[in-house]
Amino acid sequence: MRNRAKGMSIPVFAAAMLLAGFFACDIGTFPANTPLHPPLGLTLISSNQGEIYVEFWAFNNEEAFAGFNIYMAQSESEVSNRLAANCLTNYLGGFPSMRNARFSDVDLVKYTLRDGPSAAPLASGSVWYITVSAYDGYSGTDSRLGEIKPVTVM
Amino acid sequence: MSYRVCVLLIAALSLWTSCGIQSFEDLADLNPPLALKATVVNGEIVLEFLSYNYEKNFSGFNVFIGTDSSHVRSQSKVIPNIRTDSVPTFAMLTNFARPTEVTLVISREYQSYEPLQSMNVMFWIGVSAYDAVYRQNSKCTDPQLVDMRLPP
Repeated sequence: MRNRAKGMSIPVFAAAMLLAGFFACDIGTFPANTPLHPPLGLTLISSNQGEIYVEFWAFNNEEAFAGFNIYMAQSESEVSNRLAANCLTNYLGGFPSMRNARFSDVDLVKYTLRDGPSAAPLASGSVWYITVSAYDGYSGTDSRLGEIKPVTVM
Repeated sequence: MSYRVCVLLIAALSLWTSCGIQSFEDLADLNPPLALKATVVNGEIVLEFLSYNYEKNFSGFNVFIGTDSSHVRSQSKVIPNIRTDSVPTFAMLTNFARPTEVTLVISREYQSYEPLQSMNVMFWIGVSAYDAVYRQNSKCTDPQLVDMRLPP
């Protein structure tokens, strides 16, 4: 009985030491994932048919990369807050807004938007602020946002 | 008693080695500069691009040239800084906390300096972000063709 009690104390002691090491070294504060490269060089053009052409440059070779989220709202602050309500959903109603395969090289990405968030119509004369982020399909998180730019729907 | 000493040593060793682990963010690739435009103005090459290099290891930009765009993509020929004769081509004292339009000028004096001296009048050019701590380049921008014969 005495020996058993003595034997039990060794794993407890070892666990305490490992736990102390774990916290002392800030391992617990590591980011969950490496950050994705943010898209840049956003260009927005409105067509005469109430569509918005979106173009940007990207290089996302990360394993977790699943596509791009497009945020759009009628004020810059609403977009920068990256609320889910201002993020376009894909055809399945989820994220990312636009699925995309991983990149092997820097590339120019192009999309055409026909609706706003929650399928809101792009009314003629309305001004939208738009930005794009890369989407991490493993953690469900975004990269930093690229530029935020306004466009007026024709 | 010997068990306790053994466990203590193992625990101390794991503590010591785990403190040397670098954070994932340090080891992540730098964000590549994007949307490069290269123009020739009065014999100088003007490079305009977008950078979002908030990383703490970011130390500047390297400029790569080549007779073929693939040479630029493979980052085989870098232009060293003419003053320091080392990389990065353009050292930056601060990083960019937000997406920033950057303009860099390769002055005329570089034309008599390797590797620019050995280029023809037309060549390809690209820019990468540079991490001086790990001596790593980001992916290069999309290569652009430069024609030194174009009038200003």
